[in-house]
Amino acid sequence: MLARIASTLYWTGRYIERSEHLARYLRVQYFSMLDAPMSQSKDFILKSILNMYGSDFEEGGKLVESEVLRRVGMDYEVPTSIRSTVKAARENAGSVRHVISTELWEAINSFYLYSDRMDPNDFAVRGLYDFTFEVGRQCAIIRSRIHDTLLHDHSWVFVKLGIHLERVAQVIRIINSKLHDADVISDSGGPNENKVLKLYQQTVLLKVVEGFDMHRRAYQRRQTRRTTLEFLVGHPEFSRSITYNLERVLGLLARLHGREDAREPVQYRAGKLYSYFRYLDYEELCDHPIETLNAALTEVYSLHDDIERMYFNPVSVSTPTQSQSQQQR
Amino acid sequence: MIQPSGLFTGYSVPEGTLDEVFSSFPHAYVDYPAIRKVFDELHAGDFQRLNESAKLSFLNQGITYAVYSEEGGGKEKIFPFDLFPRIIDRREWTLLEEGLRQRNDALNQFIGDVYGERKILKEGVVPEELVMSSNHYVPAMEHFRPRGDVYTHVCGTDLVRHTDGNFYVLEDNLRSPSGVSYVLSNREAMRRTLYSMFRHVPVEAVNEYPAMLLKTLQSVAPPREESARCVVLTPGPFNSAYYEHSLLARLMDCDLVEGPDLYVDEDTVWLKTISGRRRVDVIYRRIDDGFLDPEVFRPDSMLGVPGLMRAYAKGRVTIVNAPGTGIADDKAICAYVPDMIRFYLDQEPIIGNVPTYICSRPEDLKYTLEHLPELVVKPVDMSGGYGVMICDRLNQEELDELAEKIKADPRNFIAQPKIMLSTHSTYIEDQNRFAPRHIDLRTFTLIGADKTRILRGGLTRVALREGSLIVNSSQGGGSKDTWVIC
Repeated sequence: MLARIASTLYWTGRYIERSEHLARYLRVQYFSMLDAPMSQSKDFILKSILNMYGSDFEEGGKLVESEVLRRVGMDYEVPTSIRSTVKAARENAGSVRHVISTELWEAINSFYLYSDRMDPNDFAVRGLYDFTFEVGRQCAIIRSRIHDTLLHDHSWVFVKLGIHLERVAQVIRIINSKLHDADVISDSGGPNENKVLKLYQQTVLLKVVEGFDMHRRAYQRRQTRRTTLEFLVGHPEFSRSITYNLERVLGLLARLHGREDAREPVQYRAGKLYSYFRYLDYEELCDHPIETLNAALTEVYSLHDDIERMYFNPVSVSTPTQSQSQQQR
Repeated sequence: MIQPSGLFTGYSVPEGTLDEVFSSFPHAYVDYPAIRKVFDELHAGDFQRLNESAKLSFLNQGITYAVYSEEGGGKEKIFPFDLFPRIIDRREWTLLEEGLRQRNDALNQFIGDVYGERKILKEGVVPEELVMSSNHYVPAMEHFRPRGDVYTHVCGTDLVRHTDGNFYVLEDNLRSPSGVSYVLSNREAMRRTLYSMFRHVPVEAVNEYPAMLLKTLQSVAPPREESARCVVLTPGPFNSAYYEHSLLARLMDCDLVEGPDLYVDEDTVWLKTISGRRRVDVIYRRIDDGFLDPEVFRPDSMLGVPGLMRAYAKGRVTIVNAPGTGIADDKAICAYVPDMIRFYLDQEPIIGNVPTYICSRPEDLKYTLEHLPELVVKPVDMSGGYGVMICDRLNQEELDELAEKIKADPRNFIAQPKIMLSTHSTYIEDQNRFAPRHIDLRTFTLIGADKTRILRGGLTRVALREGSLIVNSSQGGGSKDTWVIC
């Protein structure tokens, strides 16, 4: 397979996955503002949203809600907006149109046409729920097209590799963003109010990754900071947990290489990262969660660099790279 | 003549125009009334729905072109597609096929001759000065013989039907003619929307084109023990014909590559894959000569492959079409094709030329300037309908200005009498009815080392503006499915 095609398939997977997480985060965060137990300031939520999207804002400045929503959702000038991400997914898919199925292409193309048709003013006033919900639905359709209409050959492996690696990165970013929110809360207000609000942040966090119900089943309704982190980082059967996805990444890399081989550099790094999370000391994680997860995120990005070196630039002439991440505070 | 009704209400053919559906002429297709009946039986609302559903089919398939928008989203439009098929009778087509074979054979020999012995120039049949002054002349091709002596593997010949009922050649496209993806998608859209029509008439299939093209490419591959690896070279997703490049690559099961996917080492072209390099044998390139190889052509080209011409000269790779074929599709050269046919094949041309006055010839220049208001003036090396002047629509001041331009650079212009392109029933959306619109026909001839293959069908382009003679998509043109009866 052509190296550029492999890279483009991989990025198609990454952008599809990214658009879904961005949309879901926006929806859950925004609506959490409406049914929070106590008045969470609107500014607080908007800042959290901007932080997740890696979009700059002045710490002391006043944020205008409709502008923030337009910026993260609709603005083509902002490369991390939902619309820009969908457009990037479609542009990548368009240039591998000849290797993917018609069904998959038409699903991605319809997704883009839907997102492009959305009226930005309408979005900021009343369309936010419908739009972000539809993004999730379209992504689900696209994932089923990937699963059901592609040969599960190397093309498929690269798309899936992009999806799982992006999911690891996004879940880490989401956890960090919400932990950061909880920290900000603890610095203000009285102790009782804080306790409720912090617990509420954990509920929001689980809802952002659509894991609230399954967390309850896994931990029999008991919810603490520790169970929340354990579930999102290490649950072996929850398909959005970090460990679950790293295990998939490892498997996909072994398929690309033809066999499991711990000495092969890309598999080595992926294996190490997987083992790190698999045997994670949660006491330690709970002490310094943000720092620990940030260090792990850097490792995830390095894994991407290794994949790029090994598969996308095999003949040492560089191909243009795409943006791996949003900036986050 | 059957009285039109329903969607054909108020249909009137302008005087002096030949309408392929309503006028009678020697090769007219006799069963058009049956097709019209299918439309007539439809309620106007039904037809609107069908039309919308055909449009949606193009939009979802992503067969669109981008229109600049300030928001940055890039509005996308589909090329207008008309649901009334253009039908060509079998006997007429057989004749056309012979004519296309003959014409493109002569053109291919002409290019070989120009880069080789130059017999035709030495004998004064075609003026040497006219050929040697072409911007498309490639010195690197001199004395080089491509595999199978084929230069123009893919030829797009544009034909128009005149009021006398006969087809004439309007121009030849011998660099990288595009449009075949519309032939394939138009047929697909017709099958999805008006499938019942195909029960009335036996139509030649067009979906074999990719297989025909692949066989043509394979026939000119350098001999090697392994089977030939053919690739399609595209400038990239932002090119307006990218959909076509991608479609052909997919249907031929070839890699669709961009310049940076290839490199040359030891005079061999290699493909960069995830598991190392693979040798490339045939490049069906859809980029212009100037961008092919920065070592030989434009040094600033990012689209091409450095060293490609070296590998080509050594016969290690075949480039399709060969570089330098543009010398023969210059509009001034077009006028000499009948003479080429007589010179190389000793035959009379089967398809005539639209008479052409070459302004670099003093007597033609004189005629052009004297008869300017009746003529159509075209720059010789522009395509896409750009720069075409239909002189009876110009005022005196504009005519004077044009005359000055021609006198200043006669080599750059040709003039032709205004040919009344035939019309065909075309659905006009904002009036919700059919009206006559001018059409032409682009045909596709493939020349391989083994044989010549001609696509039975082609792209009928429609000038959607009332009275307009310019059918190019960049100038407000649409297209129709073209049926050749088997």
